[in-house]
Amino acid sequence: MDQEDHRMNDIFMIAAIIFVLLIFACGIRIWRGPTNADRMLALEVVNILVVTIMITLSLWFEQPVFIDVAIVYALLSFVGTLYVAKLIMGNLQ
Amino acid sequence: MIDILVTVCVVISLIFSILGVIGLFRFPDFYTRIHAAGMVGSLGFLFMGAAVLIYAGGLLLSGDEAWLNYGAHVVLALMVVVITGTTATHAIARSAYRSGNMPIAKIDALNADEIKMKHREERK
Repeated sequence: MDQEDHRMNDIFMIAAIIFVLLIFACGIRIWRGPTNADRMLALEVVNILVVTIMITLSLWFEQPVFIDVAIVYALLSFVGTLYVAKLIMGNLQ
Repeated sequence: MIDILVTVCVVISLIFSILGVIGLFRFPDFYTRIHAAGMVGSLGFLFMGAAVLIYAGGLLLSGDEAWLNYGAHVVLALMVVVITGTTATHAIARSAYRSGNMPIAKIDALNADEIKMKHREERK
């Protein structure tokens, strides 16, 4: 039973590693985005991938605290995204 | 049974995420890249949450009561990310349009329709 659990958990670890590689790929788009809106869109994809990795790794490490960290990270990145959107539009005082 | 469901959900999530990031590179325009980014934010994330929920449910059914708390936290995280992700994408698209970021292919729908109607009349 215990060994079977670890064998199933391996899928989540492989998925987390692939998501980290996708974050690096999004970093390339952030580096050479033509406009600022492209950079912010790639950064939002990175935020969602980070939340996904946190949920996945909380199952790998069997710690529910990671999900609370993921919820707070999602809310704070949402506020940051709204501020950068106002900055792109040019309405930031 | 639970193993097969979890594996299928993880593979679907990985497929949607990889296709979304590839689309973030291959699409020529900002407004088409939003489409690729929305694939990562909606289906790639929701299927990963479904896989985690199914796996936690399997552990709950095997007799460990602590996984109910875990599942409630996962559902809360899914709701938060679905609400904030869509709103953030809408805010970015709105600010890009207001700041003068035009689509790369501007098609006037009325003109296209007029050309079609002209061809149709010539055939008659």
